[in-house]
Amino acid sequence: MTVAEPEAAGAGRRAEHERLERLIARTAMADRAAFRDLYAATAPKLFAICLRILSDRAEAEDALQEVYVRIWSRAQTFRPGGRSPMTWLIAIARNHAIDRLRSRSSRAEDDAPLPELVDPAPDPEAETMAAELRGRIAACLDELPVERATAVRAAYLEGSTYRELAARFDVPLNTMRTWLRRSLQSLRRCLER
Amino acid sequence: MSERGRTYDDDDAALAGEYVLRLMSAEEERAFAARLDGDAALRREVALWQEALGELGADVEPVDPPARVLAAVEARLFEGGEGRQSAGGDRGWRGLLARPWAAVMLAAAAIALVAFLTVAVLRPFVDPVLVADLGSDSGDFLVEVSVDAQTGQGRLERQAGGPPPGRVMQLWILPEGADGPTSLGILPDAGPYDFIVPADLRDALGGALVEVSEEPPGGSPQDGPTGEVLGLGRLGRD
Repeated sequence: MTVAEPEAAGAGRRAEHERLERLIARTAMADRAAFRDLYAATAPKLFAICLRILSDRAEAEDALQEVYVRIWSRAQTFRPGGRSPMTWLIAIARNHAIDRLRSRSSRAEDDAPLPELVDPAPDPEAETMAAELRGRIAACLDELPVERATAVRAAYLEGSTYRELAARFDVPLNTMRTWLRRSLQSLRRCLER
Repeated sequence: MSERGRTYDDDDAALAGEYVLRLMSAEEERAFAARLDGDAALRREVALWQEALGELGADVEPVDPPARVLAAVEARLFEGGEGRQSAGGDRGWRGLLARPWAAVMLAAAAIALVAFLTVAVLRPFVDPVLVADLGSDSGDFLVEVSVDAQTGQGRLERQAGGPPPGRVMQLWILPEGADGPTSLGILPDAGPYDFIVPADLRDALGGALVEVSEEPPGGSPQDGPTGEVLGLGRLGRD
């Protein structure tokens, strides 16, 4: 409400960011208390993301369990200093929930395990760039036509496929593909501005 | 491709966005992931989308999960064994010394160390010293650690803070890719502490996590820290 608020909010965010980095680093050292703190600080958010994607409470609980087992074992691979720790955690949760969603519909025909989403190797330049971009996505989405922004959000938050999005917006599959690719290109240009 | 001075490829940018959104088929995902390995520009695009789109996830209204989820996670990770322990079991020095063949191994390691040092001294000079400041959130604990990555010789200097009454401080290191932390010993009550990083850990010291925990007298009864972490940092060039 005051003029100082954005700055205070930024500082609060940075403090939270550093706290999560520290908890992840301690988790990497097999510190169980830190892991519990990390869980307390982040599980409600990750549970909400699993619920959004899986829309089934019991399955979201199973997914969340698996997500934290992975966070425990992957904590050593997290590099502090650039990327947001929350983004890192969210990516693990979201990717696992989507893998579950997809394996629900795919049958035994495809025995190959779904690919783990690759964590790109550390790249300081990318990390700096990513940090600068933080917070810009909402403004850039606002520049897109409303239904396209909704489609991007649905793809991210609900793990919708092209087919599901096409049905939801009642457009042919290829139209949806073209829509989203163009939207991503516009977003990317906006993000770089 | 890169028109109007754009610093990235328009099509690749959209592909990276589709990949992060998980809009690709499993097959397309695999093909894209294979491309990522050798393409730093593409990895940058992926990182950018992860960060930008991550904001959308951060805005989701939180929902408290039931307590049984954490209980199940902890049961899976910690019951009937030590979480991330390797099949080899005792990795600590204490475990090593308890074994009869350990003395032979240590002697061999000492000979290897001397040979290594000789080679290291003859090598052209590259500054091998890595440093880390191990601090606490509150700022009331701080020690500085420096390690020579070639010789493994390290020193810890205390700046602020200490262990709670009746407890000791123990130094730990976890190089990237290691299975678990290795103890670098218990700190003296006062003054600097000199230590040696075991030879097998020296190749991966850059970026290694270093921390000081508070432990019962005699040190942690386990292969990893059991008490509160007092300070923590990562080794890097000054």
